[in-house]
Amino acid sequence: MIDWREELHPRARGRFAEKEAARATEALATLADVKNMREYRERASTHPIVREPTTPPPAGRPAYNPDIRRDDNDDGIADRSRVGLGGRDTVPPGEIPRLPNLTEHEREVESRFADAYERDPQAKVDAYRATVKNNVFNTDDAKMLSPDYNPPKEMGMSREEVNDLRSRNNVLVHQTANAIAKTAFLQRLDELPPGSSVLVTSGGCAAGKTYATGHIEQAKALESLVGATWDAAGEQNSTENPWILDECRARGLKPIFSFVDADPLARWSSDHPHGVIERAAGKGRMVDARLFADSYAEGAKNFAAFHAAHKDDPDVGFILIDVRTDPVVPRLLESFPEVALRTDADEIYAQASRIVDEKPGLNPAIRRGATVGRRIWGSP
Amino acid sequence: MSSIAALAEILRSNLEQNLADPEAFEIERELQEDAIEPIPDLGFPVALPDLNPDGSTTPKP
Repeated sequence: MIDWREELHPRARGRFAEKEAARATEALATLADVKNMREYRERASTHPIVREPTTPPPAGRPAYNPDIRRDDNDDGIADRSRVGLGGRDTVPPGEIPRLPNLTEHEREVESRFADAYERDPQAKVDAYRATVKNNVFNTDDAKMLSPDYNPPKEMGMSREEVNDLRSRNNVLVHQTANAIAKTAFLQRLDELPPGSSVLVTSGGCAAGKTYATGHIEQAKALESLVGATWDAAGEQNSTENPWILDECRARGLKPIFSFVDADPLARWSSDHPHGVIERAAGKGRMVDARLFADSYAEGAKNFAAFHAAHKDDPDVGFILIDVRTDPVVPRLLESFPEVALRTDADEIYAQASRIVDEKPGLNPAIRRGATVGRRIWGSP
Repeated sequence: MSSIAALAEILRSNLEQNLADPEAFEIERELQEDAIEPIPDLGFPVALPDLNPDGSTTPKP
């Protein structure tokens, strides 16, 4: 039985909003005379969300908090990001990583999906595969299997209530969804005849990867050229590409890796029609600021190293697309965009966090989704 | 890998079209997502508990 505490009952949006507004007001008050980013960082660490009590993972399960720059095989590509599985990992066998520093309610949401997957992984993979369109595999789509992210229709929740759930619970269901999508993708690769092409899309959160693979009709055109598409979650920081290359080579498949390069702050801003905040207002799924920043800075470094190592391999293709111009006019690039490598994750994290803190009218669920990482991984 | 150029142009033109009209893209995505039901055996209630004025909840039978 779920205990809808802390104003988390969907019909308690007003109460939840009141509480979040109080937290936001407290946070904003501490920023009143902030003059620069150094001062902002000092104050950001006092945000009320940081003080919320936490519940550890289930007994015997260590919290998953990897060094996202660790590179054990020295290939220039980090082994893990903060969420999802390790770049080269799939489950089964194994267990779903459990995040550090979750509240009791957040831990419940994480456990509900992860425990169910661990009890019967293939059933969840089968359920996800039944929803896959045009052979495009995507971690975000697999989140739809979680009722904490996609509540049953019988509950009669409004679009706004559903969006609130998605903004609050996005990061909590990410690990399991990534495991489901990776396993499903591997099973699709097993079905492809040797020589088939496989498309992989990489880039920061909301850079435009999913826009590139397109909606149904556009994706059909893609499907005529590739046997499967891995529409990577930005939060994985392009750590999965070596795994995909190995899995493709083991099956005689030809992978094509694409990278969409976008300006991170333009993609975060609520003033931008394609921004993360704007997207969350329309359809939920708010991305935490820490993960967002990593996805651009670490993701670019990891992809650049992968590109440099394999750009001349005869069995590997690359497509690089720039969407930094304003207004956006996507253009194909001949070489990896150096500007992407100058992105500083901590700087973007601080700037993105400050935008959220200084926006008093922001939807409270979006605010929570954007700032929960301060408790989970630390303040800007 | 002769198909790479064709694939690149598809990705570029999809991006161009969907960035120009994100609303149409999102509406179609939403319709796709709405057709997906969550896994039913996770212990999640099928009916919301009643929300009492004091903020407590009463589970439905």
